[in-house]
Formats: sequence, structure tokens, C-alpha cells
Amino acid sequence: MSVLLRKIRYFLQLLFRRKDFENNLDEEIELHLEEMIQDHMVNGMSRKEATRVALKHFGGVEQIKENCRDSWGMRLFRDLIRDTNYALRLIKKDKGHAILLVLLFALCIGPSTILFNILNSLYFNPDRYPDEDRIYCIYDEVSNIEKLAEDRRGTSTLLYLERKQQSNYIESIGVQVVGAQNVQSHPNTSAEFREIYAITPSIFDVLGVQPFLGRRFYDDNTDQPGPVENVVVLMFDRWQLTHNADPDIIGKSIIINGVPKEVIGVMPESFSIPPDAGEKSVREIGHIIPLPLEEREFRAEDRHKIWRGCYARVKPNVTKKMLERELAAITDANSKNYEAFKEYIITPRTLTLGEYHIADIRGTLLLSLAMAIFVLLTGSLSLANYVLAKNSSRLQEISAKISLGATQMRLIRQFLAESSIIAIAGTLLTIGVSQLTLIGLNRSGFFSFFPMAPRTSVDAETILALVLLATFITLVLSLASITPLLSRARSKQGLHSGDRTGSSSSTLKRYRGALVLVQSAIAVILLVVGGLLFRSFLEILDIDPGYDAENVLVTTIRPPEDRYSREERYQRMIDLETEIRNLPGVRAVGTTKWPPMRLHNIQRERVISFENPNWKEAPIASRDTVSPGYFEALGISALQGRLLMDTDIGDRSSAVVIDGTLAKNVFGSEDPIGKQVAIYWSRGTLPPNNPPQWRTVVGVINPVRIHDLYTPSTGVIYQAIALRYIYWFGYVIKTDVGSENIIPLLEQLLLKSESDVAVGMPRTLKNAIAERYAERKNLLYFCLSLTVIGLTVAILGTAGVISCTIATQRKEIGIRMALGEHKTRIIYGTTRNWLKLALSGILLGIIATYTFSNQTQNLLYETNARDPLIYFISTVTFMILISIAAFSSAIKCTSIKPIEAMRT
Amino acid sequence: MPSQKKDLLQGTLDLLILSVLSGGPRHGYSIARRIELVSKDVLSVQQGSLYPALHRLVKKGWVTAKWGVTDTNRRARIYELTETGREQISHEVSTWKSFSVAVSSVVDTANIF
Repeated sequence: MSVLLRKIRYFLQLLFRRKDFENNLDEEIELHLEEMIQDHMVNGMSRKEATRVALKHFGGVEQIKENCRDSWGMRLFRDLIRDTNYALRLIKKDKGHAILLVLLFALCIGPSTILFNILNSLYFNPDRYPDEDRIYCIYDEVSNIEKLAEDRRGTSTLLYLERKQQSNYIESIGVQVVGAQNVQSHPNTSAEFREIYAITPSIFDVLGVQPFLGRRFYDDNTDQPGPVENVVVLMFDRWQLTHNADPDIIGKSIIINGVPKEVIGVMPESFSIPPDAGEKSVREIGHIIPLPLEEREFRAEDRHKIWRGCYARVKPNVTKKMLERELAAITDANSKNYEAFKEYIITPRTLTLGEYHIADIRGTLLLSLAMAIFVLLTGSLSLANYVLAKNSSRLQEISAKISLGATQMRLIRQFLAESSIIAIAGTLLTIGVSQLTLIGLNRSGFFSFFPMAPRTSVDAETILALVLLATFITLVLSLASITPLLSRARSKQGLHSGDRTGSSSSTLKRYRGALVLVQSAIAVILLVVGGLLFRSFLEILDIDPGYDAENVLVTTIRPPEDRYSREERYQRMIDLETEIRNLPGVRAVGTTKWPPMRLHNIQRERVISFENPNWKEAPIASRDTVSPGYFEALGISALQGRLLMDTDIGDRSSAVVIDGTLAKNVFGSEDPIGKQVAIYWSRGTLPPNNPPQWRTVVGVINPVRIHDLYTPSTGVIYQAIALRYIYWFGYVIKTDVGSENIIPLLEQLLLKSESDVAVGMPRTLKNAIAERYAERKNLLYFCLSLTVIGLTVAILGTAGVISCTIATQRKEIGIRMALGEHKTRIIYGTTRNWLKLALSGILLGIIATYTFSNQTQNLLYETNARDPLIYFISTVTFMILISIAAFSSAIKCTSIKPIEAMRT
Repeated sequence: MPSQKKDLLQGTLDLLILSVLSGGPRHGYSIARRIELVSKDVLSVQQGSLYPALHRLVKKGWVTAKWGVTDTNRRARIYELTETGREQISHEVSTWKSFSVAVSSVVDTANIF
């Protein structure tokens, strides 16, 4: 141990008191020489002679000192310090160059860092729950409705129970649903309409998380129809915001949909709710309640109606393949008990949470990743190009060093040290900027269209990946820039190059030319993709939804289910419409089951005509149940026939109004007015078990986009409100001005009659539409940012190279000017050479973009990925930018007098 | 005429320094002189090798170095054997002896005439 301690002490002394070591050595050698001189002088020599002889016998003092330093150890460390000092001196000498390189470096790896961080937290290493890789979302595809492009990833209660009871691989499994309800947190405050997370108690086991305060739900009677505990668990944020982090919250009461529920727990701060089946965006949820299973869910005919979100935790070492195989076997075996529904082929599917998180944003992420990689590539090329161009000006210095005996390894080490300092500064800058960008993206709502918000801090894995990437780039750049220089310097041209013309050798020129060419290609790819996305966004902004959204407010009001009888509820809905109509400033109001732009999961229906009752080939449409005022509030008029009227209201009415798209899909060119149609819910019971109920088409309206903005509507069918369709009340309210001003009046109206019922999620229709733009808008902004970064990097790099190269040709230019060549001719010639090179790169970029246009097409709306105009504009833009860079550098070089140029 | 002074065999310098220091603390120049004196000028210590060897021995912990004053009242860096250094001498000496015996055995078999 003492030996170890002594060694540590020695190294620490060497590390921190190196100057003492050096001073001791200097003095010791000086004293040694003095002793030798004195001895010689005693033998009769003069001091001068004695000094000469002593020095001769002693040998090279510096060499001896160097050998002593070697014997101290830590030579590598010493070399590192020396090279670093040398590199720092070089950087200090040309600060502007260093700052530019650091910025280029950060721009180059920044986008990749941010994207890797997002991917890491969503897919590679999502760490929201313990052993998250064992958690699977289980959902089913049912053959008969598969082609309807159902985007809900769910299962049915019966399928869930089969798996719970029969699987050997599943450790725990549960179902869940997210829905909005009235929440009154305190007795004296007004109610809020909030998203509620309803789960079977086993979901706590699946996610491996328990409340940090209080308890979870009891497991009793959870898999049977009927009432559940009247309790609620609060999310951490809600507990803090609404209940001021009350430590005595347990046992207190919250009214949810008119029913008092006892608070039994608070979830930990880190807990987040997994996406609901088919959920595409992050929802703000504050309350978790036990999920009551309904009687009808246990009916045989409901086995294939998949709408419950389902998560399972598998036992250790169970793979996805094993689980899917077992689920398929269980499902097939049980399907034999449901002979009457054998036409529904149920195929179980699974997704890990990581897969789920990226399933719906895969296209967006892939495009962003591709662009980030292009930025990385162009950035690396710019850096290599710029470093090479800059180092070319050091050719004489390198040659001199080689002549003086510097080894190749020493020179490479010095270049590495310089690049490493730049890389370290760039990496630190990248971490800082990435952190700020992630926070900014989160605050700007960029992640709102993600199923789960990714981490907003740069994580350890990302930093490790970043460091590896930075090291790789540094090594490649250093070697790429030094190798051609060394070979040239070794060929002994370097020392003379300045005397000749100052121009680079042909190898260097070719090397630089290749870099500029590839860089131009990447810049054009980025420009074209950015242009296409921008055009696509303009197209989206230009979408006509088929109705007038100006001054329209949409809201949902949902009185507690058991407060009224069905008849009373129906009457209440009609009365409320009348009361709203009588509010000041209201021009029109209509009731609707599905307020426009409010749903992500659209209820899809099959619509058959009397003439062609083949339901298997029936067109798909979305259905809505509305009051006549709906059309007036949205400014929709009839193209053919009439709109719904008060006389159509009620259970006996069979009148329906369809939009132009559905009319075309069902009836082709025939006149639909007076024709009979029947509607089948896509997940409902189909003929022959469910005979058609024929309805009469009384009117046709313009095609409307009610729920989705970008997907062209497959058709909409409207039926009048009736007693049997009542569940909640959605309203569209047209006002004279500023429809949001009506919200306080609505709240007062409800407060008078039902203080525990909230005006649910009121927002102007224009805002609701804007929210639908958000995803595309965010994608566009992100990709445009990448385009701008990539372009900046490419232009900076290319311009830097052009400028450096032209600068090294200053002497040549001076001679040409001295020989009488006109300035304009030189500028023209230089610019033309660079443009030729850039043009080749542009051509390469266009070919690459054109080849991969099919992949880009999926992300564009009404925009051709091979749009010649965008290609043309991108090409011209890049050419202009390169021309400016080459032109300005050439002008700068020709602006000095020939004599001065030749003297430098 | 070839020099009478012989260069030291590689690896023997450490042993010589340790042996000299076993007689008491000395400074660098004195060590070199002592080796030449005892070997009757047969062994010549290259100055360039002496100090790296001394620093190496300090690093190994066999020798310590302190500033002091010489017999001639001059300031100098004085080297002294440590306990570990003393233990090491016997090991180095036995290694050297077995080495020299082995070399002698081979040399004795040489047919010079």
C-alpha cells in the first residue's frame, strides 16, 4: 500500500509541481557543469577553456534534460499539454477562424443531437416505467373492418379477459380509456371539463407504478360488469395546481360527473399516462378513476368491437414473437366459441411502448432524421473543406517543420490537438444549444402531436453518442486535412510553393473540388425538400373545409348520465339550444354529436343504398347527428334538395342529408334526392344479423371536412337529433363578433341550472382548425430550420473554401494583373470555375432528390414531390448564393495592387 | 590507440549508482567521479545517462533527493539510498554476479590461441 501511496504522491507532485521538477533539473545540471569546470580549472585550464571542455564532455544539455523528463514518466500527458498549448496559440492567432469552426461544428451535429435525444427518449430508451421493455400495447385487427383504416389500437373486453385468464406469458394486463368529464375539484368552484383516465386496477401493475401518497384501486370485482369504487387518484400536477399540494388530500372529495369521489392517492411526479388506444397526441390528464365495464361489453356480438386500450406486462425473457404467437393461439382457440361471428377474423398485434410512441410519427421522424443526417454530412464536408483550405496556407510552415526533423506523428498530433479543442468547444456549445432547443420545442407545443412528450433534457446516452460522433468527425477531419498536406510537404514542394505561384497542387484542388461538389448536392437536396414542404403547407392553408368557420364557437356539454331520464335529457338538450340562441350576440346555434375538428378517431360508417345493398363494398362515411340550426351556424347551404328541418327531428324521422363526396360514392352520377340509404357502424353488427333501416336522402351539401383537414373527406351523412342518439350535447354557435366572448355567458347559463357541469373545451372553430394545422406546421418549421441550418453550413463552408482558395491564388492573380490581364476577366474566370463545380453538384442533388421523391411524397399534401418549379427555384437560389460567395472573394483579391499581391 | 575507459554495459549503471550510494549520500557529479575513481578510470559514466538514471531511481523509490551542501561547501542535490533501495542492492548484486559468472563461463571456453 505504501508503494502505491508513494507512487500516487510522486505523480501528483509531477502533475501539480512540475515547475519545481524543471527548476531542480536546471539547477542540478548547472551545478554539475560548474563542478566539472572547477575541476578543469584546478588542472590549469582557463575558465573559458574549462567551460568548453566541460560542455563537450557533458553532451547536449537539452537532450539530457529531455531524457530526464522521459524518466519522470507521463510523457504522453506532457506531449498532450505541449500540443494543446501549441494548438491554443494557433487558435489565439486566428480567433475568427476558430469561432467559425466551432459554430460550424455545433451546427453540424446539433440537429442530429436533438433528434437522437428525441428518438432515444421515445424509442431506444424510454424510461418512464420500470422494465419498460416488458410492457406491450395489445390491440387487434379485425378482418372485416381492417380496410377501413381504423386508427384505433384497441381490443374488446372479452378478448382482454381471454388473455388475462389464459396467457402463460403475461404477468399482468389491464384495459383503459380516456374521456372528458365534468370535474368539480372544490364544492364552491365551477366545474371544469377535463380528460379523465379510467383504468382497471391491474394497469398499476402493468406500468409498475404506485401512488406516492395513499393507495391504488382495489382489485375486487374488476373484471365484471357493474359499479366500481367511487374513488379517484390524482396526477401530481393536478394535486399541486388545484389542491395546492395538500398533504391531507386523502379522504377528501372531488365531484366527477355529478358523483362525489373520494381521493385515495396521488401519483408520483415522474408518472405519465401511456397513450390511449389510437391516441395521436399528448393529453393533459389530471384524474385517474376505476374503469367500470359495461354489461354490453360481455355480449358475444361485442367481442370483435375493439375500442378499449390495452396494456400488458410480460414475464421476464418473453419476447414479442413469443407473446404474439401465444395471443394468436388463444384468440383462435376462443373464436371457435363464437361461430355466429366467424366472418370476423381477429388478429392480435403488439407494440412495445417505444414502437407505439413512434408508430404515427415515423414519417415525420424519418424525414427529420434524413435532413439532420444531410446537415451532418454537409457540415462535416464544410468543416473538412474549410480546415483543408485553411491548413493549405500553412504548407510552408509544415514543410519547414518536416525539414527540421518533426515526425509525421508529431504533426498529426498537433493537428489533432487543434481539431480536438475545436471539437470540445463545439460539443459543449451543441449540448447547451440542444438543451435550449428541446425546452423551446416543448414550450412551443412542437411535441403536442407526439403520443408522448419526449424528454426535454439532453440525456447521458445522447451526450455519449455526441462525444463519439465528435471524436469521429475530429479524427476524420484532421486526417483528411493533414494527409494530402503532408504528402505534398514531404515532396519538398511546400517550401518553394510560395515562391512560385502560391496555387495549390492538383491533388489538393481535386480534393477540394470533390468536397464542394458533394456539398452543393446536399445543399440542393435540403433546398428542394424544404421548398416542397413549404409548398405543401401553403396548400394546407388553402384548404376549403366546406363551411364558414368565422365567429363560430364549438363546445361540448355533458350533464351526468344518471341525472336525467332519457326523455328529460333529450328535452334538456333542446332547451339548452334555445337558451343559447337567446344569448346576446348569438346569431345561430346548432346541436351536434361530433363538433367539427374535435376528434382524432373518427366514427366510420358504411353507407349502402337500396339499389346496391352490398355492405362489403359500401362506401365509408362519417356520421353526425345534428339539429337544423347546425347548418345555419356553419353557413352550409343545400346544393340539391333541402337541409334538415325541425320536422325531421325525432325518432320517427328518416330524413338524412349527405355531402357531395358521399353522393358521388354511393349514387355516382344519379340524382340522390329521394333515394334510400342505410348506415352501418363499421364495428357494429352487419347484415344479415342486423337488417337495414332505410333512410331518405332529402338534401346534398358541398363536400365538408368535419374531422380531418388533410385527408379528403370520404363523405359525411347527417341525420336529425332524436331521442335514441342522445349521449352528450355538442354545440356550434355562430356569433356576431368574437365568438370566444360568448364563453362567460355560457358559463353563467350553466351555473344557474347545473353548477357541476362545465362548458366543455370551448374554442373557436378557427383555433380548432389551426390546431389541426399544428402538426404539419411544426414539421414544416422543424424541417425548414434544418434546411436553413444545412444551407448556412453549406454556404459558409463553400464560401470559406472559395475565399481561402482564391486568397492563396493572390500572387498568381497579381502576376496576371501585372502582365496586363483585365480585372473583370479574372473575376469572371474565377467565378465561372466555381459555378461549374457547383452546377455539377446541383445536378447530382437533383438526381438524388428525384430518385427518392416517392419517400417524400407521403409527407406532402397536394404537392408533387417532383414539382419542377421547386427544383428550378432551389437551383437558382443556390447558384445565386454560390455566385455571390465566389464573386465577392474574387473582387476582394483583385482589389489590391499587383505589386502588393506579389510581395505578400 | 583505443581508449582505456570502457562504456558501461546497458543496465549496469543503476547497480553502480546504488553501490556508490550504499557508502553514503552523494550528489550527481560526485557519484560519477566515484565510479571512475573506484574503477580506476576504466568505467566512464556518460553524463547524459547519469541524471536520467538517478531520476529513474528516485521515481522507483530506491533513492531520495534533497538539496544540501557538498564538502566543498557548494549547494547540490544530494542523493541517498532508501530502505527499499538497500533491499534492492542485494537483489541487483546477486543478479549481476550470476550474470557475470555465466559470461565468464562462456568466455573461459574461448580458444584464443
